[in-house]
Amino acid sequence: MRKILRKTEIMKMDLNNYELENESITSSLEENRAIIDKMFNPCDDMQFREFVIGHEHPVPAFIVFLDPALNYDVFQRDVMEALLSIKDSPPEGISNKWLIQEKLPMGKVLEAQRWAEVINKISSGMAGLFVEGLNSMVLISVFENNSRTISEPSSETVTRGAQDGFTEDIRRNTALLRKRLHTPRLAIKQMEVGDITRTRINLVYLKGIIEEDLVTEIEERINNIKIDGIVADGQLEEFLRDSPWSIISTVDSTERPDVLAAALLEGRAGIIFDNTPFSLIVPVNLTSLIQSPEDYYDNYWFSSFIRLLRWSAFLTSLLAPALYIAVTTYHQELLPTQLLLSIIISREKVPFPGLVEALLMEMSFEILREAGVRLPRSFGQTISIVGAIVIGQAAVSAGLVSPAMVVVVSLTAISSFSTPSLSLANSVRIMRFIFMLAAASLGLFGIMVLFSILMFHLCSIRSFGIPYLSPLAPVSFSDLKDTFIRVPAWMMDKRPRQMASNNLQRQASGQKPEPPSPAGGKGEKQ
Amino acid sequence: MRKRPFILILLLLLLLMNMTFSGCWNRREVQQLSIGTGLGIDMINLDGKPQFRLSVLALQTTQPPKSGDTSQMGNPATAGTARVITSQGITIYDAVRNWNLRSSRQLFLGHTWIIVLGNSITPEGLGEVLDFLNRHKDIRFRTLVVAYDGSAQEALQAQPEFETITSLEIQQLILQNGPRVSKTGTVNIFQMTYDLLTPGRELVLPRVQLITPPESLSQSQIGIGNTDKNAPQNKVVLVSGSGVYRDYKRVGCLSANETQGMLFIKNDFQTGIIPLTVFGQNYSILLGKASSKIETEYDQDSLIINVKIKGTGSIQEGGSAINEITPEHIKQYEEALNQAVTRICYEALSRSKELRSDIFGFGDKIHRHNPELWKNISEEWEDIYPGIDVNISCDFSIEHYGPVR
Amino acid sequence: MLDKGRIDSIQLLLILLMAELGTSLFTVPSRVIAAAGPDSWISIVVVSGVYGLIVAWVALTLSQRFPTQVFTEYLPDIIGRIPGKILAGIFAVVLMHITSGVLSEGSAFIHIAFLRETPPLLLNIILIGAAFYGAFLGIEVIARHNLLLFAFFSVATLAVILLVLPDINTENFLPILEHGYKPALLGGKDSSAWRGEVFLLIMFYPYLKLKQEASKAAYGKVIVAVIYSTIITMTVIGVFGSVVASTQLYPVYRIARYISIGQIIERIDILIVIIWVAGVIMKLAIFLHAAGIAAATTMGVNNYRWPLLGAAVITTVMALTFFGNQAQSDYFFSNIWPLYAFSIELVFPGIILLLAFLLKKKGVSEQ
Repeated sequence: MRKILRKTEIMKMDLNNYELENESITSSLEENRAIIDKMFNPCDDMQFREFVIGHEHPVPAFIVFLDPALNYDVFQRDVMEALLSIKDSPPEGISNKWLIQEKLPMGKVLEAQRWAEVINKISSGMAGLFVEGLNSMVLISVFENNSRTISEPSSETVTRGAQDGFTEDIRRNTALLRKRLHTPRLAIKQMEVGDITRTRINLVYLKGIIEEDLVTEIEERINNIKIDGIVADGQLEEFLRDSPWSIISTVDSTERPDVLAAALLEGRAGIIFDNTPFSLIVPVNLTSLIQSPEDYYDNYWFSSFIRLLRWSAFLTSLLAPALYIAVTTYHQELLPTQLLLSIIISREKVPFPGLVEALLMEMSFEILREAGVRLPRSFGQTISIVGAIVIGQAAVSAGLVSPAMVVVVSLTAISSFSTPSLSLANSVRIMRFIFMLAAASLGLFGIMVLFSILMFHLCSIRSFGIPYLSPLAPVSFSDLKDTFIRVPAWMMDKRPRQMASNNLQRQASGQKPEPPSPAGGKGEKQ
Repeated sequence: MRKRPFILILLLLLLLMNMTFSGCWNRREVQQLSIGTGLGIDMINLDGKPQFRLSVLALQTTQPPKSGDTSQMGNPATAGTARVITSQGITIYDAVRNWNLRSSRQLFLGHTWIIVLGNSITPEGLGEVLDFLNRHKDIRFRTLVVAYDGSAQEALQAQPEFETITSLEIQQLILQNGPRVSKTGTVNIFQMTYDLLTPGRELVLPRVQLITPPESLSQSQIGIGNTDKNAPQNKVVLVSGSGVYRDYKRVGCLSANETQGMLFIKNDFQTGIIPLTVFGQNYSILLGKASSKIETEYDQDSLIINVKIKGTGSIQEGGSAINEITPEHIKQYEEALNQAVTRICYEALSRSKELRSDIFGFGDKIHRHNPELWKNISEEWEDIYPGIDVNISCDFSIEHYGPVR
Repeated sequence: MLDKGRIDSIQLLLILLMAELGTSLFTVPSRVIAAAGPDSWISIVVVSGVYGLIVAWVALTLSQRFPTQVFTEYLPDIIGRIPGKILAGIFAVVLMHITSGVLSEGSAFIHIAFLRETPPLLLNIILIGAAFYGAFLGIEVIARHNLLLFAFFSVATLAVILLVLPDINTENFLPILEHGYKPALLGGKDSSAWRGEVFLLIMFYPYLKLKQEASKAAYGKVIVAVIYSTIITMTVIGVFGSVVASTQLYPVYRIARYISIGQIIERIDILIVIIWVAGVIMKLAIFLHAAGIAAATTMGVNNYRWPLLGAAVITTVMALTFFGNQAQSDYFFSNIWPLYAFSIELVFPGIILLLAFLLKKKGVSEQ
């Protein structure tokens, strides 16, 4: 109940200044123009083009459009020339229907009556055609696509694999998706979020594979968002999450159409967003966040190896500094004697306890990393090199940290970059510090207790009803084929059980390629 | 909806407690540690009371200034790697903590490689040592135990020849090269505990000896350089033979050959060279892993123990010239080999009977395979043991003789 | 039911299994070996196996009469409201007492093997805090985490056993039945007390999705536990011999410390510590969940979270008062616990089952 009330309040706030919520446009050209003027004032990039339709009985008309959003070539050729070349009006008089059906050679032309819609469409870049005496008007899409062209996704690069990434334009993004999924099953549902920004959101999924409940759930959650405007997909993500307080993000984002397409094939849904090249994938589980698109381009032996490597790198990035602290301050007996000796010798001059030393290095690394992102690209390179040399070499020779610590920190850093999902890697970055504190206060025992708590937490969170650790806990043995290792494509006959239980079969089974049999085979007969 | 803040507060509380309460109890930064790599235990009489003297071969991680270097304990030549520091106490742990009266660093025994037991340890003392080694939380069961005829401190102060630290050298001598010679056993804390606690077994420890390297002697005799004043101090370690205990009491020693015999019988012989003399010519046989089987035979009142030893060997060195080796020759070599091994075994046996110490664990064997009999004889086993009949038979075969005939 | 979670039979089996193995795998072998020597396998397989199966049968039969309720819920239905509530309350306290025993065992090992100077109270609070979080999240979360933990647990124990295989001396398994059957059977009492922890089924039965698979979980748990503890106990005997092993409080930890393969694979005792901490937390979470639910149903509240918190606090206090020092808790576990466990695991539910049978009391079935 409260939600509905809030919704109407916001709607009023948006439009009731103009008291036009349900008003229709008038038949008077002057009046309409005055209303538009008033509504958009001040709005200097708005243009009015006045003209007449017909030679014998000229009817005054005007077209209103927002200057920067207009594709002038199209406007000139397909709108103005078409309208100005009208010689005669039909016997029953000019109607918008006639204009649309016979005169305007455009793809996307709409007839509209209500001001709310008209204002909306004009502010999103359509041109509005008003004709004297008609109590409706025509909206023409002559939108200039100003977004950048398709380029390589910058945050998820692969060496082998498709190199096209999403752009800021939602239509281009859905086109990229359509290019990969030639099927009527690909459903694209458009929604708008944000009462001011009216950001277009497309919910995409594959009918017949996805669980219908999931679609309704997502739609409901998106529709329940009451917000003035949304500029980042992270905002939307936070509204959509199942466990809002969790440090772990239960929504994945990707810049790559092939990743999205593969996710849809597994029975997940995608949320494509206008104005950002990142689209969201729901539901996710931990194992899917550790997978990289490249895994499916490469040989499965290699992919499996890389995946195991990535899992260990994931654990390393989470635990390595904590383990170093725990081992050097509590459990020295776990190190080989020679290693312990060299650590002791290297730490002789270091004045800080292990925790401070580790925090010092980790913090300076995090600062470096943040600076590297923030700085112009050309500087970034320099800073990282300078940072590495200064922080690493100088800190050691100044006796601030021990060389072993530098090794641990750089190992952690490298490992943390090998996690494909940025949101997961960022959660790990925070958790690493908590683990370090636990290690410093109670050693391995602290780490283990914290790890147990983390495991309890990971087991408890869900992403749109799917347990976060899903193929592992609760275990689903047939889905384990694509987690720590990747089996060959001809063995992955089933879709993930949790996500696509109503349409489990992915492909025909028994497709293992075999050489033609030498005796009596087809090859011999030919 | 309400549960999240609740659990969050709880977790925060936990973390806070975690951080405020602890942080000092068990923390020991590595640079505050002094790593003891070898532990020597002696007993001395102080004020009429027996006390333990603990010698710790501690790794040195800094180079202390020369003037502060106390050369009272050891050879200054070893400074920079490890040196021996001793302390005394009524109990061993007392001595461990007293060690910290002198050392600015905490003694850490998690990396102890060897425990050297001096010959001054009394039976009661050995019991205490056993308990200490079992109860200490850092010392591992794998840590080797060796015996030394003298003060354990001396053994740890010996000059390492190949490694940087004496204790590491002793450990490698036993673990790595011991099985190549099989003239000394391998005993770690667990095996020591096992031998001492299990009825019908006795403890036999490898024996560390200090020798003055013959090379340096000959040099000083010839008179090159004037190193002879250092020569007596440059003692090096040698692990050979074993020290025999009976019921916690050190009763004697086995020579290197006797130890080899013991290893044959105890099924611990790894590899080793057995020299033979056949037809007046010397041969070396390299034996591989030999296996022994002990069977007890009991009828009426005589107890007979049969030991069967099997194994394979190869000729590594044969005679004064390259002779042709025929199957008949091999038979003769095998015969000689069997005799040689049997002789070694009997030597070990008679020595152990002399010491009245059942070093082979025959009693344990009887206990396990014939518990009824053991029930009757376990009380007087020490007296029965010297009188038992042991038949040792060997069956070795020679399989290879190298690339020449 | 206060916990809305649903688990399948494998998850139930593993929950019951970890509710025992979490500590028993590490502490019980030396007690059994001390009593039965090399014949420990007879104690474990024959005595504790049979006892465990009987307890499982009693718990199963009782639960099947009341498939939608936990023990403390239907207790008043059987023996009358007031005595039922009193007995349910006592049962809840007993569960807390057992939990506190687990807690003290758990922190004692950490205290003895690692953090000598950290006060056990702090370790207790931290362990119970983690377990409380797990129990608080509900049975489903426990079940899921438990599955992962069990996988790791098995791999770690298997690794330890495989790595220590070269050190096994088969002579140590002899002599067989040196002192006759008596010690071998008596040794079973220690093992049995833990095997009987399958009685927790009466607190977890309603969460099971397919009730007809309950017997699989109950009997399966006993069999798997018997296999596990036999293997571990015999490994301990094989490596250390029964004489040395019976002197060790934590022989499995000692075995892990003893592992050394070619001076390369060494110092893997860390594995045991990891599964010990994780296993104890899991075991605590399972017991705490049962205790919290028992307390909540006795009080008749409709949210078990506050009773759970209460149970956690009481458990911590109990651990301090009843198991304050090592000698106390060691005495309890070797002398009192077998009888105590016998009465709680078998006698009490057995009497209730008999009463339910005689009075023809039955709960509502699921539909």
